[in-house]
Amino acid sequence: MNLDLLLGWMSHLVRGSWASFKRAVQELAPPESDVAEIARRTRVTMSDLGCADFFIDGSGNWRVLPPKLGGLCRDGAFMLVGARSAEVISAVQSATSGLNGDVDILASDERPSIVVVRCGIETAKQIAEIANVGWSSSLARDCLAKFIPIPALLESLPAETPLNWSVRSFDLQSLQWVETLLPKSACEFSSRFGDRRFFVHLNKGKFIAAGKRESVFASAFLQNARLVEFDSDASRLSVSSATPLPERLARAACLCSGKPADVIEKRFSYSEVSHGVAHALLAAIGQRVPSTF
Amino acid sequence: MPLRTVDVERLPSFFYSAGYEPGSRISPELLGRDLSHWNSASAFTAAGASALADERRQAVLAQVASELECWDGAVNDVVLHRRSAVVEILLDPRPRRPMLYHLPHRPAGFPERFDDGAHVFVSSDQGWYEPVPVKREEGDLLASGFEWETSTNGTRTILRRGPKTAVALTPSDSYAGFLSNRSLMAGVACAVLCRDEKVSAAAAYLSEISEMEVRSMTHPNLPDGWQLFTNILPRRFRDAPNGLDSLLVDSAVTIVPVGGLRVGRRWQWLRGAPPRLVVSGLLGDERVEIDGVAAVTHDGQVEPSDSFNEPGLHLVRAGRTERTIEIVDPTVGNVADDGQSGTQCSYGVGLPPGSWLLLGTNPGEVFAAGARRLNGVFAAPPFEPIWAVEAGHGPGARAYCLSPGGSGPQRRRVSFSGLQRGALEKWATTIYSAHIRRPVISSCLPAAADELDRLWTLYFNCARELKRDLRRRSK
Repeated sequence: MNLDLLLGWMSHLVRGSWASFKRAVQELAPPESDVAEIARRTRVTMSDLGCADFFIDGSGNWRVLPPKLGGLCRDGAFMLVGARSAEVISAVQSATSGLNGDVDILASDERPSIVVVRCGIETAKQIAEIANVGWSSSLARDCLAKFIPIPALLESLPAETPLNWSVRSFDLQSLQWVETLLPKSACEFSSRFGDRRFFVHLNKGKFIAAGKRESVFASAFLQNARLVEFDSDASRLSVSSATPLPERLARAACLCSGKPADVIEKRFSYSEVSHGVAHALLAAIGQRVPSTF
Repeated sequence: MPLRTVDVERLPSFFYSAGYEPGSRISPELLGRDLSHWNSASAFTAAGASALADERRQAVLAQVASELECWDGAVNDVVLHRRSAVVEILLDPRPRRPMLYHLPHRPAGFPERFDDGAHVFVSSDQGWYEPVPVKREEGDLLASGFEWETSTNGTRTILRRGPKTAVALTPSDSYAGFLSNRSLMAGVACAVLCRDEKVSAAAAYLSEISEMEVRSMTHPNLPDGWQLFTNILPRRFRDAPNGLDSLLVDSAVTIVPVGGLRVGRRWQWLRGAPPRLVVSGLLGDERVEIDGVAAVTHDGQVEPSDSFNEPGLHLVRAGRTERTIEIVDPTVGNVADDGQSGTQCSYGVGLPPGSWLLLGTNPGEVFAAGARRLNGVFAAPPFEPIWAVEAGHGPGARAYCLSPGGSGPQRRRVSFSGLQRGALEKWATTIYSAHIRRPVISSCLPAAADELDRLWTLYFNCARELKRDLRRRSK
């Protein structure tokens, strides 16, 4: 499937509904394929690679992000993220060649082409300026900085849960949703029309509204459960596929290497994650930050 | 035109109250009778009423009939605080797994979310709500028609569909698949949804107009009491049997662009994903031309050509009908940054449990990283932090280097007054106080101890000088 074409379409329109995104995916997907599954996978890829945000503020809308050149975790590598067109890519290419840098465009059927500029940090900053795209010294840290940390989320005001909706909770032992209301757990309320809302169930019947993935990590924080592993020697961060990272943090982890996560033994595995980014991500998600003292 | 805009805008209320279907054709006699009855309550302006009463009556009826054919079913009655729109039926014709959806129009001003307590629709783009599957038990509802109503700020919003025993489903430029239409389209593949009791009459009629025997299918995805005919290719025009008026074949030549990646409401598609063209109603030797070149058609489907994918305007001509389709190269639209997308400078940092102060390379860059946490501390200072320092009032301190390869302090010309002075004092005092407590120095990255010591010493020396300057200036 040509995801460059899809990203071109998204960049042109800037924003749209989930239904229009699915229709666009259906147009580009092979005939007879499972459109719902391909649309879901494509959404994750587009979000993880910093192309677009989906389901903004709980709505059914997507919005493409501004084009930006930003640093990956390996030295001297900068990736173009966000909206793009042939014009934008060509502006980056010509600015880079003018400043003696290199541009690699890595195409794939599984994701939009990855555009990586190789040069020094000051040169990359100049390239962004000349090509008129945004700039960030670290794409991963940018994503992290905009994330509301789980401990802070748990200090939000309690929320009212809907009446007469069915409820289920996420069981951190089995890593599955179960049809009951568990204490200190993520819970999902569903209406008979298919509306879903997620909360963190605190003690004494108090609930805090949260996103689906955030609520699972909030419950892990409350139960002191470990969901994320960081192998500092291999610079590899991994999390069970049953408990994916919240979108912004998954993006931060992907934008360390500029590649989507590998799936290894039912775990999402992110490579080239620097110690600094890993520690920030662990702190933001409410998981234990290793002490080096 | 005998009726002025102000009267024409009131016609949807008339169509609605008379129970007409969008796009339907009503005999002039019935239309005249209904219109006079409706206008007895002074619905038209004085000018409109006199046009209906004098020698212009026939012209008024012709204008009203023409408006009815173009009507999409939407009503916005400002006086009665009522607005309504039609719910179309969408068929996703997946092989062996047909799926039907309710697809309501969403005219301008309709709520983002329609919720009458039993039916929920959320807005999609381009004048529609998102499709919602037709449930199996909704068969009778579909046959009898429905009005779903909600009220916001005193205005009633109604989504409705008239009673039907058969629904013509044709290609559409709005959605891939087949959309309910007021008639079948000649010469292109259509589908028909039909009530059980009308299936045999429909099968005979559809077999006749398509010049081949057709059969209906049942499926668990279809609503109870309904069957589906697919791949109906109408080739003849015949009177429809009683109760199956909606299956008449429309002889008009229509160009329908289907699929592709459309950009916006205009007939504009992206290069690399042009629409497929479907042309209905072609007779005899009439042919389709794209930019003056004859195109190959098969059962109403126009075979794609490479030139049709080139950016620019393409004129499609079928018989006397012309349409212009534009193919564009993608550009980056106006992507406003609302601060959530991360172009503003800030740095996410994670630290072991404790109370930390983050320090940047420039004196005065200080950020308190929050309270002691069980698992760790997350902070997002507006500068790139080099050190995180945990210093209390007792013995011992911890200094955590966040950027071992980072530069030393950037002592520039700084202001020693006001708020800046306070920040400078805090920056210098934090480093100085930690240093005299003989801090344990470590880093988030593997780094040589002597390299960390050297970097710390640079910061300590800068802090000491700064403290001296501050003392001197305060005298």
